[in-house]
Amino acid sequence: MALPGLKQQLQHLIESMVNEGILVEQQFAQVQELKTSDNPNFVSQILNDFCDGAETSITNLNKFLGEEQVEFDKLDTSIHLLKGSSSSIGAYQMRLATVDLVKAVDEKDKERSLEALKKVTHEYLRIQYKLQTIIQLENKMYDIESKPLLHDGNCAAGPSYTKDI
Amino acid sequence: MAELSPEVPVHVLVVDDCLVDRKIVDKLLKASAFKVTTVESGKKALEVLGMEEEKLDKPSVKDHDVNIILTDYCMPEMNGHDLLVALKEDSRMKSIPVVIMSSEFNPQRISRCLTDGAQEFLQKPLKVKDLEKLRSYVKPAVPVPKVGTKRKALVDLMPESNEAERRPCPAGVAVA
Repeated sequence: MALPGLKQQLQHLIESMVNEGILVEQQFAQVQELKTSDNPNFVSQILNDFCDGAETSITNLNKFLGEEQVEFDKLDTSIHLLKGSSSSIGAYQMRLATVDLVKAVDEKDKERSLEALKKVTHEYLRIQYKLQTIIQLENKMYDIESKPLLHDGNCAAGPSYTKDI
Repeated sequence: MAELSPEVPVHVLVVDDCLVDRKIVDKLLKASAFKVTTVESGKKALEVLGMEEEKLDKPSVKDHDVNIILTDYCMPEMNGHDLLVALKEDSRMKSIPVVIMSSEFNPQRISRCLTDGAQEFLQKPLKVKDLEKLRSYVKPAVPVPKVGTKRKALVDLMPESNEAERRPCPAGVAVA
């Protein structure tokens, strides 16, 4: 697919996520605006980091909450990482779910904490699928934009003719 | 307070255990022409500032290079407030402004940080306008008149500038 088509597809995807209420447009736009020519992969990198971090945190939380005697203090780091990163990329519903988890853990309520963690996991999976699509689109756009120009008079050959994006 | 000449970018030391937040804040700051160093913990921040006892001989960042410290509050082992207190208790570091950031709005936490010396408490996620405030906390240096090298050397040696006290003298370099 050509570049304009990919950009349109990306735009539609983001709009649908905003309309669904799972993405904060302004916050995600700030992340997109940080993409520069010297770091054209920034958006896909950040989203990959977000997904990796979220999965690690959710795994840790499941492990700690699965113990018979839950040490609630151990949950703080993972919860704050989830809350912070979801807020930074604009993952709205996931952030809200994390706020509920914070309250349950503060009250040292194991049952509520487990329920809240299920909700966090659900919201993560809901957004993760769409974020992966964004990553794929970003990578395809990068592949097209970083290809050497072939249509100018000088035959493009080798890295010296690679277009800077 | 750290001083800055008009041409030199403000150097921010960013402390945050969240990789996503570190990268985003790093980019935001650089997009606004700040110089940025990022670390993942309060302990690491003390190391790069040369405050950790075991690593005093070779800090990664000289204390006078960092103009302002921007730290997350919620971090394991040493949180943002712990780091703030450690910095304010150090005679070399206490003049460097410290700004705390957090995704949580906790009035008691905010009040405690401001009372204990934080310049400001910013709510995450940060916006460009938040970062522009950082510049206002760094005092610009008084311009040194360019009237010849002799006079400039005298200004450098003047005790009231505090530069001689604050800047560690590299080994083997004699001060004229």
